[in-house]
This record gives sequence, structure tokens and C-alpha cells, in this order.
Amino acid sequence: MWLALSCSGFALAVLLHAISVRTRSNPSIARNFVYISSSIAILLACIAFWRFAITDESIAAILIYVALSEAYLFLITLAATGVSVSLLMRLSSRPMAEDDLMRSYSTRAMVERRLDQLQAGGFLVEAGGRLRLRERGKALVRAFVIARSLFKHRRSFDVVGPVHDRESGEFSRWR
Amino acid sequence: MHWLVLVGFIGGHLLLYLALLRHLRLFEREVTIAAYHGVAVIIVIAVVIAAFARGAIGFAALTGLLALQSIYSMSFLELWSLAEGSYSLQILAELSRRDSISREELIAACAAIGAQKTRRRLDYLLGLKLLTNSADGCLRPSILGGMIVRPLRIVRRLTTVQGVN
Repeated sequence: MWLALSCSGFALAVLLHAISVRTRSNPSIARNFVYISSSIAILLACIAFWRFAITDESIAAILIYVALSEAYLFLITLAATGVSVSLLMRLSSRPMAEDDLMRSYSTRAMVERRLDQLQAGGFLVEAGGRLRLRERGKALVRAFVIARSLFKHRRSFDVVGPVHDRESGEFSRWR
Repeated sequence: MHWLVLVGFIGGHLLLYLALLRHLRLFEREVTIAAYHGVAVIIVIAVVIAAFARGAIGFAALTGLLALQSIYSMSFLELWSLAEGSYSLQILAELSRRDSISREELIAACAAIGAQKTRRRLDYLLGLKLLTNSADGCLRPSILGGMIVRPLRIVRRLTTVQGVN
């Protein structure tokens, strides 16, 4: 029963998200999933505690739901922004030679797509042909400067420069 | 009690990293970070299964404890990788250094990174044997690569997200 509760809660979150992204304009698909899954998590927690009280079953039901939702959110961001995933999918649809593949990739499109996503997410604004960070974008940069300091990432955060020639690691290579 | 033991283990795991391990050059490498979490996951799986086999915990606690460990490791690795190499964050960082910039200037500054990233990812996928170079000279996903593509394709269909290129 408790396992069915978490699995059905997760299935409901995926279903409502799939309907939501098709029925209204969504600035951020990932953020939309966070809103939907968080609402269901609160509902699921209420049902679990009401049905099982504070027991292993109720705690497990909530934790499994959260783990499934987090894994799904990870897959959404990977499918949306992963360069490796994009390469795999493109070659899955149409195998091609390495040179043709590299020629077919538009680095300009890569930047433009991300700029559009960041703009839609409210992190930056374009006015009078100039791009500016919004307060939310500035806060995100500050948060990640702190995170980089916490994780002791020594590689420079600069966009251009020779430091970027250094290889980044396996997880980051998916992005 | 078992919940508190795992919370204590996770707290100790995180504290050890923050207090000591993050200062070591070895822990700048993602393979080391992955191994650090991989070992923690294996320890938790082994202890939890042993406790379940002895009847000390039930099935609900077994799955819940594994879920808690996976939430911690997924969150940690996700944040670590985002802070290390996100392209979007590099773009935001470039913007944060200037009051404003035209779209063309920003694209010119960041496009080279995109080309580098694509080249590296391709080499990475070939190195992991997720892509194979077939006899006709074409690259295509290997069996393992195909296994990764299929669930992500389902996610794309469900969520209508489009790739970056």
C-alpha cells in the first residue's frame, strides 16, 4: 500500500506535468515539474501520515517518491541541456561520419538556445538589443560562486581563456 | 533508530568531505568524487541488506533507507557537476562581469566554448564505447548508448523538451 502510494504519486506528477507543458506556456519545464511534484509531495505526506502514522512505511513512501522525482528531474535537465545526450540522439536518428557531425553542429545555436532558456527562466533580460542579468540571474551566479568555492573547483569561471582547455570531468561532460 | 544511523552516516560522509577531502587535489577529479559516493552507496546497501536479512528492519525501512542515500548522493553529484561545468552558468558569469552586452557579442564570446564542448563530448562518448564507428565510416550509438537514448527519448516526448542543438 505505501509503495503503491509513492509510485502512484510519482506517476501522477509525471502525468500532470506532461499535460501542463502541453496546455499552457511554460517558461521552464524543469521548474514546472518542481512545482507540481512539490505539491503532490505535500499531499502524499499528509496521506501517508494519516494512513500509517509516523512509521517506517510512511517515511519510506515519502522518501521513495522524492527519490523518483529527483531522478526524473535530473533526466529532464539532461534531455534538455546535455550535449552528450544531444549527440547520442542525433546519431541514433541519423548515423553520420564524424566530420559531418561536427559540421552539422551549430555552436551559435547552442548559445542562442541557452540564452532563450535563461531569458524564459527570468535570469536575464534583453532590452534595446542589450542583454542584462536580472536579480534572479545575479543571485544564481552568486550561489554558484559559493558552490564552486565549497567544492574547491579551481578551474576559472571565465568563459574565455586558456584555462578552459583543461578537461572537465565525467558528470560535467554530459552537459 | 535505523533512520538516525543513516542520517548520522550521511552527515559524517558530508562532514568528512567538507572538513578534509575537498582540500585534496585528488578530490578535484570527478572520478574520485564518484568513487567516494559509490563506496558510500555500496556500504549502505550491504549494511541495509544484512539488517533486513537478520530481521532487524522491514522491507519499508530497507527501501526507504536506500531512497534516502540515493537522494543525498544524487543531490551532491548534481550540484557538484553543475558548479563545475554548466554552460548556462558560464554564460551567466560572462554577463555578470559586464553591465550589459549585445547578443552577438555574447554569442561570439561563448561559441568557441560550445565547439570545444562538442568535440570533448564526442571523444568522451567514443572513449566510453557509447558510440561506435561502423564499417561505412558512420558514427552510431552502441548497444549501451542505445539503452541510454531510449529512456531519454521517452522523457523528451513526455515533457516536450528539446535538446540544445
